[in-house]
Amino acid sequence: MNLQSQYFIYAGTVRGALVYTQSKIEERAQYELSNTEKSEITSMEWGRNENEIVVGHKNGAVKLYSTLNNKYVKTLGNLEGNGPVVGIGIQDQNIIVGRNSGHINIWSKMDVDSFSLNLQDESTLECIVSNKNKTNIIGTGGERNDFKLWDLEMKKPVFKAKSMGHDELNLPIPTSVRSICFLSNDSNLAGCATKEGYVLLYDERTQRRPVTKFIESKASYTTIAACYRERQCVVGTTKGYIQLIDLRSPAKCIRTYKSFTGGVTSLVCDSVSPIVVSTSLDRHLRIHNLDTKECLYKKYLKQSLTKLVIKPIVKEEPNEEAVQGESEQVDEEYEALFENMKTVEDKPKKRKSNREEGKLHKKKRN
Amino acid sequence: MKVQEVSSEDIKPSTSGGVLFPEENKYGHIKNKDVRNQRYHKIKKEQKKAKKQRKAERREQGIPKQAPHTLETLREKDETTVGDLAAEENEPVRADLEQDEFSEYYKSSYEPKVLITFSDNPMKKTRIFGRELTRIIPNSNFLYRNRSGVKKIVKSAKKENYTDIIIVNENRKEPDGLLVIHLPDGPTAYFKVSNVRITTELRKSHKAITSHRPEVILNNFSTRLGLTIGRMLGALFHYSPEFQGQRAVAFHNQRDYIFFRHYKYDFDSEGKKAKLRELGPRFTLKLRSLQKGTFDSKYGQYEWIIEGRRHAMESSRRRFFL
Repeated sequence: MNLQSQYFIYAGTVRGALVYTQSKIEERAQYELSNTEKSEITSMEWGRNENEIVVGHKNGAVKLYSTLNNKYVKTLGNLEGNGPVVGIGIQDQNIIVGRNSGHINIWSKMDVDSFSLNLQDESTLECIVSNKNKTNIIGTGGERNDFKLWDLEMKKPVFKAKSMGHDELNLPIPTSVRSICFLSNDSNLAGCATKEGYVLLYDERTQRRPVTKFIESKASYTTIAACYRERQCVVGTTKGYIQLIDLRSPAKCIRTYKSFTGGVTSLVCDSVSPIVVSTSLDRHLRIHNLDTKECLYKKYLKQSLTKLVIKPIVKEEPNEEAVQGESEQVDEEYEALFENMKTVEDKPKKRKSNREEGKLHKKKRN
Repeated sequence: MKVQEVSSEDIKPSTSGGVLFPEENKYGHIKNKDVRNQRYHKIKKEQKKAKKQRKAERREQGIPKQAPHTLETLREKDETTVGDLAAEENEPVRADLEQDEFSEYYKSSYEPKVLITFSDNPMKKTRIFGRELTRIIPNSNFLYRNRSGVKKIVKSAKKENYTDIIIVNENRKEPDGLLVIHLPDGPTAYFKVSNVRITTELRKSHKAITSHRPEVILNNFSTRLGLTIGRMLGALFHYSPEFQGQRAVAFHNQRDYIFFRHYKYDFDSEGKKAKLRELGPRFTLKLRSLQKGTFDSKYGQYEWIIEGRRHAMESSRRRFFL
């Protein structure tokens, strides 16, 4: 087991408990069982600051959990709509809450601003995701409810996916979006995983039909997460395996990760390294290496897990030293390079090196 | 001889000790069959006697009995084994059980009402098997399916206030599958059924089965998954048995096979020992999948499924899941 960077992992369970663990081998997980909402956690997201987790429940309650004192601090009230909370997004200081009936609530400290997606009969909202790069845009989708992008300020859809058309029997192909992710490198691209076994990549700039499709008719996908590499994503299925899918056309499945005995419920990828963290209904938390397919870490957490959020542990001091060392090295190289050249000026050289240093620092922090 | 430390990874056949030849009969050379047999049985008797004596000596000295090594006793340790529920580390499990789909039943807040049905066109043995299940499970009904879909059955059974559905599947005129659906929100378990003996095959009569509510014995369900399955099977029966009926229904888990037996018991005159009389039927279950929610094999989420990963999961004969 070689986990280069370790993580703070918070997982939500079917019974409304929160489990906290660091991905160490010999470690007892901490359980937060004192939640008064005895209801399944259906969505979890990091909140407005880095010590806050927003937790949404099946019965519609939304709570704020503080990781500093490990307590529920606040309950969000006056949320419109009914049914389970299907997704949570963060827009500056506002919290966006989507409910199964198709209502979006924008909660700020002062009041709750809400609007309805005006869904047709029999169609529901299954997931909402906010775009990290464009905070006023959210992606929505659900049962008989194709992928759409909504502008939160105008409260209008800015992009509507076209239906998948008809099959050879001239019947409409149903799509029930279960999960959406925005690709990390290009904020205009959004991937959708559907109940029927499709992974669809939409590009809002080009066309309303999906840019690339991946079809596996036997699978039923539950969750999707963007991978750190360009145009790759990981999807989890109900029957308990993860697939790494390359969405450059033609889309294909590159690798499959097994070792699950129950359905995969949520996935989170590391933003810089080939690592995927997954929760499953078989009550285990697993960490896989995306390249080697190796299961790096596996932990029995005693309740069926539904959602998770992770944060890499930043070891402050040794990291800074490493960064400094690296930057110095780079400086030397640079200086050597410039010394060999015929120098005209000294000043621009210094600026360049400073910039480089700044970039490196930023990367490490991310 | 030099003794080396051997790590468990590189165990090789031992090179020490003599070669074991097949045992030869000491009197094999005697040609008279009668005499040969006589001699042979005589020495056999002596050996038996000596063994018995050694056993008695051991008992006198108070040496404890050794447990035989079986697949069960040498079972690989499973990290999900529950153990003592009251223990401190099992608090999350307790919280889980308090809220799960069967918690209402175990609070005795409702009486189970069970619907038993079949795959389409059940043959004779399957029909009789279903009929016998209705005799075992109190407050259960027996209906033909009439080509209805499972999801439709679930919907209408909810309307009729059923709390569980059992669907018996058959193959080659024998029952071979059992789908147990807990209502209203699942879970759904699918079992493979084997070795079904209906009462007539056991040479018993169904008339011996009284209508008293039976006691339910759930044996050996030790892991977290096993606990759920045990609770699920227990929730099919009424929570308060009628003890004057002296009927017991046992689900005994051994090596992931769940053996079902149905007994009538009777205490002897001193009231210390119990005599068992099997009433029948008997069958064996093996779990294939456990699904969250009611039946949806295509899109539903599985809590546990063995399909497609038997090579990975059945990696050892000493690894069990229930």
